[in-house]
Amino acid sequence: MTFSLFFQSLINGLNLGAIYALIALGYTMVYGIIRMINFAHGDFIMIGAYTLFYTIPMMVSAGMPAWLAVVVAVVVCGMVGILVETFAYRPVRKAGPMSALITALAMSIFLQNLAMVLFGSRPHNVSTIFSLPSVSVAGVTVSLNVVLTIAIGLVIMLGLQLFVKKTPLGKAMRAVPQDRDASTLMGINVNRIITVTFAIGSALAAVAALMYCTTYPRVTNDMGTTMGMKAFIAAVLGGIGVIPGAMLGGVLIGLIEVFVRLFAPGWYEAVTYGTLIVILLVKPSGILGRSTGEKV
Amino acid sequence: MKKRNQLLAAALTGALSLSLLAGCSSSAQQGGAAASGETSGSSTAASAAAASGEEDNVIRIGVIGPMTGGNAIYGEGAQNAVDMAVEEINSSGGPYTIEIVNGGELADDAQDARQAMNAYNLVMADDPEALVGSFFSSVTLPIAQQASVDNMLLVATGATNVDVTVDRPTVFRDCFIDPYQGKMAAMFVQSEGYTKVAVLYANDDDYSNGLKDAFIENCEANGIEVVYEGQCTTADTDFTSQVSQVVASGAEFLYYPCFQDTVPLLVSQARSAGFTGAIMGGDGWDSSDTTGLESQFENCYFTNHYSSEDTSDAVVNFVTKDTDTYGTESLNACASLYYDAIYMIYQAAQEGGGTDTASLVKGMTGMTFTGVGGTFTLDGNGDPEKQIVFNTFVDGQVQWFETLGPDGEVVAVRE
Repeated sequence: MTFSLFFQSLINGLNLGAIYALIALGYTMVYGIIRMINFAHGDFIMIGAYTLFYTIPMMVSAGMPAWLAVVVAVVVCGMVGILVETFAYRPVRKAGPMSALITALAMSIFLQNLAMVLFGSRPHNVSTIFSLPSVSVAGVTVSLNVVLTIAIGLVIMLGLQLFVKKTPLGKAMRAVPQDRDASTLMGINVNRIITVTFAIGSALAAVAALMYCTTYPRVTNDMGTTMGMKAFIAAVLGGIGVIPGAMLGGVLIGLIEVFVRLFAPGWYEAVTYGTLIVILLVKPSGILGRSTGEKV
Repeated sequence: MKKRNQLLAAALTGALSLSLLAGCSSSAQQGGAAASGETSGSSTAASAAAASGEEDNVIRIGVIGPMTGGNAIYGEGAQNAVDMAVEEINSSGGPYTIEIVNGGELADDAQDARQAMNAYNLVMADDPEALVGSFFSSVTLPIAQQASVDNMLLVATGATNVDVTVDRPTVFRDCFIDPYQGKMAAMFVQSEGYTKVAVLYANDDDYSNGLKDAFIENCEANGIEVVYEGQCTTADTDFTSQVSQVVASGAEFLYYPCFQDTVPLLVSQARSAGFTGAIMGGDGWDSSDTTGLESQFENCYFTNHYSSEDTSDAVVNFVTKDTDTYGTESLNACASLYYDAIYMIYQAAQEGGGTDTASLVKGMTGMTFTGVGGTFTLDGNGDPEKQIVFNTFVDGQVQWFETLGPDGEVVAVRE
């Protein structure tokens, strides 16, 4: 393997990894607060992508900058997240983790089929928001879109980490999973915190949709399933409930997929899913996971 | 720690049940199809007796196509074309009329080999005299196998895999076959003067494998070097690894014999990886969505069954009527093949002298037919020797390039 191919693959892997990491963040935040795997999270990305698909041409024709579509997508995804949490997850919250999990699976299937009815089953091309050129560095073609994607991912992850560590709301978010009753006694509105967490997690899905569509400009009603699964594996690999873990897991899975495909294209999914099995056998709490302590 | 592991276990159980649910949905439909088969069982016996007893001059045809999934645009075009052909034939006052079973609807195979048998059983429950479909090779292979066992006439439409018609006297098709399409692509490479080519194909698809094999074989026979041979699957969305290897291999030409739902992804990723050479595909590229990728689709080509820019009477009639009624979006080669298939069965009834399956098969064997796909004769296997159309893209619009005959002779070229 030549150096340029290696470097190119590194960039490709980081790009894919940044997308997985951002999706994994959505899983990890919700899991950190209410110990629930939101399997519908992948489908929030699908909703974000469809919002982009419809709003980008509207923005362009209205003479406004195309990136405003991202704001719309963030708002739409946040609203969907709040609605799903309020009407589907909150009623079953007391019934135990298994009920919540099954509700999440049902929600995923519901959203996919709703999208098929509303938008049809045909894939659509999403117009690009950023049409930055590619630059050649030492025989390697690097798309500036990819660099931007990685940068956006990094900024959001750092921002989220700061938000959770430094702000009062972030402190409340860390307090709720430690002891829900004690948090209530300390004046924290637990329901409100959970709703806010869902809103943030879903808004991240909209940004993930933007990043995904920059490299893979296509939206389908079932696009969330595979992506959600991969990101879930990334979250578990890095340590679910830990924000840096989601980033690490996402980047690792992205790199693994790209490099495995270089040598054995047919094997990359087997290796990805195999990684999950290995990590569960060796260190079930994930690479950065701790058995005790705070989690968000 | 322990609780956490339990939760993870629960999550994984959930993941497993998700895949089980996915499995359930298809088996539920299977159950539905079986149930409808049972309920119509008694009526089947009654109508079979009627069919053998008297000649009603109605050709009952079951049609199968991809109505849902990533390539539902083909099914949409097929449904429109079938409706149009039936309407034309039935209002022409000819000796026979046509009835599409399953209430006039195409049975949905969802581009899935397992769903194909459900679709087959669904139309067979209505006791048809002929079947049309399906479009994808991987879906049509099991249908052709069962149709051959059931002695049912099948006119496959887009299924270009060689094995579809081999040793199956009741199975025919109205499209060219994979080796021919791959050979013509290799001929194109040679005539355009490319010397280093790369191939990327979907290893989980019969059609893609067939084109790849024929293309590589003919390239090597013509002294063209295949510098990279990569794999993907039909479900992949990420091709960055493969295209960066294509660029690294120094290829001037990339052959991507896969379907239109992934073509925009491949083309955009190849272009952003810095690949400036020609990219070419087969008839699976038809109806590719080029929105927002107009400049990336420059220097891309694909082979196809017909071109809507062709000026022959049959094509002009088909294109005008189809676009007037249904718009341009679903006007694809798949539609033209279903349209021709209905007319072929109609002609078979006239030549075979009856609407029962045996007469139709007799009429089909060795038939010479003129339609939207040009004039062709079915050979001993039931395959046509047809002209092939080369298309390119200009500003994201498909533009006819040239039409070559079965031996590589130029039939027509853009002026």
